[in-house]
Amino acid sequence: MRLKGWQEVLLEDLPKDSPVTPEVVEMTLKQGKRFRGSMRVSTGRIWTDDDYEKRRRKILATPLP
Amino acid sequence: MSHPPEPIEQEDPDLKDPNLVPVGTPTLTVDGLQIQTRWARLVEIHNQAKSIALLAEEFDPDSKLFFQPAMELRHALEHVIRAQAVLAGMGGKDTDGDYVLHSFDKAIGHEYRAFFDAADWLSVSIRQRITKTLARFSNRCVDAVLPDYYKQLRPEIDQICRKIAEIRGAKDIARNTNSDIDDKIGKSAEAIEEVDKYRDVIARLTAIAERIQDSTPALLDWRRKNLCSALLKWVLGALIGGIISAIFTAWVLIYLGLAKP
Repeated sequence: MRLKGWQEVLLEDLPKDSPVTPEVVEMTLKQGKRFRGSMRVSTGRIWTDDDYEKRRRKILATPLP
Repeated sequence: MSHPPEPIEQEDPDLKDPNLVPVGTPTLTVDGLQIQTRWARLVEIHNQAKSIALLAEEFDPDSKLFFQPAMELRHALEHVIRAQAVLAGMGGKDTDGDYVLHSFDKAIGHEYRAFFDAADWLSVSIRQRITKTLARFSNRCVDAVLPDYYKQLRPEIDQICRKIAEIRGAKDIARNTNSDIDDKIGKSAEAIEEVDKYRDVIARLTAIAERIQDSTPALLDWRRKNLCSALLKWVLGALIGGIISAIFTAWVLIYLGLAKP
């Protein structure tokens, strides 16, 4: 393993997006104090992939009043 | 879409610095106007996606962040950087004008996905808000205050949410199978047209949600005014129901011989 030069990685693909899981949210929350970006991220207010899909399916399947 | 600005042809001497160029700088044969058109499309679609994502963040009832649109924007940036690297003469020997246009189209494809991810996030939140707002009121109350709700608005909301979900579902298949973005996305002009169209559809959905939200005082007022008549009807209903069940019970008891008339 070595650090590649920028010319070498110019045409390389980025790593595949990893899924957002409860463990990721938990870890983000633990490191929240060190994070100076989005307030939602630092307080762990993130939709996990599963929760988002569950919520989405539930809402779309619920008939409107 | 507005017309792209006239291409400005100028050379930046820093970008042609041989120390910055790795190997085999290609001779670019890309038509300047084509690049400008791609840039204009990219700027438009990016800001359409951004506008929807900002609204979606605001509408989320749990104030949570959905990462997917941001991840798509990250991939779009990657393709823009690659295209710009080639334009600046830093792309390497396997890159040419077609590569630049292809990279721009790929970037537009990711922006397109970001738009529909954000649109899906927003439409679901809006639908949830509408359901929550109206669930407290009777059908009569809703019909009295929003006369076009059952005939027009409700089917329209259903249709919009379904359509956005379908588009997102279709592009999820492309994403999961790791295939190239579907034909429609690859043709950046068509992607822009579709985004423009759905931008109007989402604007309509937010307008409906706002109208329903604004009707809440009128709905509460109607419910308060009709509380007495509703109570009276409920009491009358309970009374009539009680009498009918009493008559039926008496008849059953007499029929079974457990009571005498």
